[in-house]
Amino acid sequence: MTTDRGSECLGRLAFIFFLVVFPFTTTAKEKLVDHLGEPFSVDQLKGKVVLLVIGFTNCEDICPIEMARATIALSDLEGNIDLVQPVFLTIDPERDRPEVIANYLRNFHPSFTGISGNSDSVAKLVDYYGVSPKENKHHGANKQIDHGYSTFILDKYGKIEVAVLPGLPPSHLSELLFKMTQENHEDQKIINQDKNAG
Amino acid sequence: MVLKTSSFVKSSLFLCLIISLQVGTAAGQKLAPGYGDTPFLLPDPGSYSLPSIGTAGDGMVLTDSGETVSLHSALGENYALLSFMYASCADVNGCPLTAYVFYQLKRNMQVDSIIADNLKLVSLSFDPARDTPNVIQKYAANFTITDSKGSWDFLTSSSETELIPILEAYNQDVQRKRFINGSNTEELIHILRVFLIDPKKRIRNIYSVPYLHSEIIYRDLLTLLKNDEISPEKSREEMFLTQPTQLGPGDVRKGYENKNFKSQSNPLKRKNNLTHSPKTTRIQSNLGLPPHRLDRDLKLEEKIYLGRRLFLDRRLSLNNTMSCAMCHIPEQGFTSNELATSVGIEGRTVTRNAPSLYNIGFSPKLFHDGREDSLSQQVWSPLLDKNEMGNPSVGYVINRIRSIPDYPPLFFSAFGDSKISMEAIGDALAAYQNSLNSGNSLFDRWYFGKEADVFQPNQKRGFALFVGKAGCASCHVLGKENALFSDYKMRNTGVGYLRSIPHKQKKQTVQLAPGIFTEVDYGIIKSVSGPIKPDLGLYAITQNPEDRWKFRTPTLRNIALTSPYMHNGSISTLKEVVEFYNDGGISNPLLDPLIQPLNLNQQEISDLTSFLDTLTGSNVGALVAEATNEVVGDVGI
Repeated sequence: MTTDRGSECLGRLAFIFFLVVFPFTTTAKEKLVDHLGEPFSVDQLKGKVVLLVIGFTNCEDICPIEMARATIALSDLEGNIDLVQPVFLTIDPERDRPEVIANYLRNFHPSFTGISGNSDSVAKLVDYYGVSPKENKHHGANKQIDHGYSTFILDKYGKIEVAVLPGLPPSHLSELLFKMTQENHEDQKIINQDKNAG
Repeated sequence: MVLKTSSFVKSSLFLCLIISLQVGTAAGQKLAPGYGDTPFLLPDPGSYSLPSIGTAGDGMVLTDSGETVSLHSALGENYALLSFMYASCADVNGCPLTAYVFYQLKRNMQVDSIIADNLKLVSLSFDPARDTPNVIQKYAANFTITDSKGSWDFLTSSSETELIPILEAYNQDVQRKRFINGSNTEELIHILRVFLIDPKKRIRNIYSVPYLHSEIIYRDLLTLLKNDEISPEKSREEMFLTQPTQLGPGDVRKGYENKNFKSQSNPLKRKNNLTHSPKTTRIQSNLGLPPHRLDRDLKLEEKIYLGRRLFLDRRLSLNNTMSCAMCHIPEQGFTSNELATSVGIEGRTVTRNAPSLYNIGFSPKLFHDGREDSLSQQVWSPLLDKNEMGNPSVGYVINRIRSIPDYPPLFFSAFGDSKISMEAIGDALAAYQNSLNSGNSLFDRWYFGKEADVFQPNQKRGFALFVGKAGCASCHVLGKENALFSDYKMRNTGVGYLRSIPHKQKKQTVQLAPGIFTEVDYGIIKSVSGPIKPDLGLYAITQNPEDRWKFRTPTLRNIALTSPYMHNGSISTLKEVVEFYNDGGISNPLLDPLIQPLNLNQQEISDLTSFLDTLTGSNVGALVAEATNEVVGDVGI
């Protein structure tokens, strides 16, 4: 009898857990949106080499330079562009709504995906990548946000592989991306071969 | 993949883009020359020189694998280019410029082995809180995938406490920008400076924004490689090591009392172009010496190195003017050949002659009055004596050393702990002094080494007198297997007594030039000098009236190098010392019974003096070179 009661208890707990936690996790993911307003999940990035630029559209100094560098590097990639997913993640979700980002991204490489969302979810994601933005209050009307290095390359598992130093030219960035897609390519080939063999 | 073909065009486009963006901003500014062509026509490598600007500071840093190392060891054994970086730096002519120029150099390393083999790029973070080892690993990853030849290392520190002394050493004043109300912003302000550091850890060039350009740095590196290679100092170091009797800079005073004296002194060449390599220059020459107890210490070389630097550091005195080595002058027998009694800070009078430090590690009693028995403790006397180095307290000295960023890493490597304590300072200075062992003299080779042909007849006669008729060996004793030439007992020869009795002489003999003397009236000397105080020797320690005017028997090893003689430096030459004992010392009620008139004739006096000249160790040149080659503090050129 005791065992039956125990298993019944466990079953209930599992049910409650499912009810409470599962909806929470799904909605948490939906709190991020891409520049087209569609729900966005970080999982979407897995399996590709990601070029991540963290910044904000009103940025007056380093962000546009970083975006321009990324654009040149990406266009250098030519045939290998499909293996790279460039992402622009805002640190200023209040001002950078999806449509603002969409408009901003028109200036840069067309394969960019922009990410915004509610403040908490965006802040969590930004923090996950180790960037800690601080508002620069002395700047005047156009609010500026100080942040650290903001261009990263993530591997296909979403792990930061490289923090690309500002000042290094686009050729360096494209070479890094190319080399990483090659590694990725090799892995993919092995997986495909396995599938075919199976 | 079309990478290489259009990269130049793309890079130029990128730069144009930076310019247009910058012009469009409120803070619009001109791009630094480092992003483009060289700002002016550059001179050919080797057609100019880059003298040392100063010593590169040191401190403890963290590598990208989280290992704690000294900055100097992180800079490596070759030339290094050191920059300071700050991740939130938004100024395009700041950290991004440095990164761009470093990248150009790194790029060149892929095709040019000269630069890859001889230069290391090092970036140290300003921001230990944000730039943890894990984060700087991601910066380093820029070059693990591509451009892997040559090295560009990223460093951070464990805390601001560790970092600030390093920044101060490189004049990298970091300030936070402030709001109008005075509160700090997140943004740091610093003046961009990149340092070119040579293998001996001296700064050879500093690049600011207008001069930070890869081509300039490349030419400077070639210039240094060319100039440092043919440096005349290199052969000088070899000279020191191969000719052990050559004492280097300073004046060899032997025979100065004669008119036919010819100076053998070397010009004071620049001392800063030689490596410190204790392991190569510290030559053991133990023949004739007892075994040394410190030889088992695994960190001995590190302690000696640290001790030597402390010994030579003038910042260890109250007003930063005097080091230990300024009275115990290495090239003058680790004493001062020019002064009977030492002179401390601000010209203050010290009552005794600086004792030579050769073989001091074997002495069970320290100071002329024997008041200390441990070198580790003894060091504090001169440091704290108001007439010597003048420091007000032990804590003052410790804090002073702590404030010098070179030292924590040295203490770390010597003691496994960068904490600087009274004990560690004493132990380090003691280790260095213990390393000043000097045996293997001509006498040792003849007497202990059984090399019959190295000793001349007059030297043999002198030795016979030393152990026989003259009775010197009663106090300056010899053992069967080794000889320290001292019983280290306290004895009264009358020299101290002479100083205590009222002065009867009206004139003092003063030497003006080789063989030229004059007499100066005491009245004149008194008018410019403080009164000579009586020195009661051991009595000051024991308060026993029987101990008045007793002083320690000194070793006679290296005695030819350590003039003037006696505890107060009152006798200038060895011949005069022999004559002093021949006369039976100075008669006084407490004269040591062993001091008796010797009845030596002039030939015997000469033979005895010749024998004393054979007691100079074979490694004195190396010990002197080791000290004079050390560059301590911000010495410039």
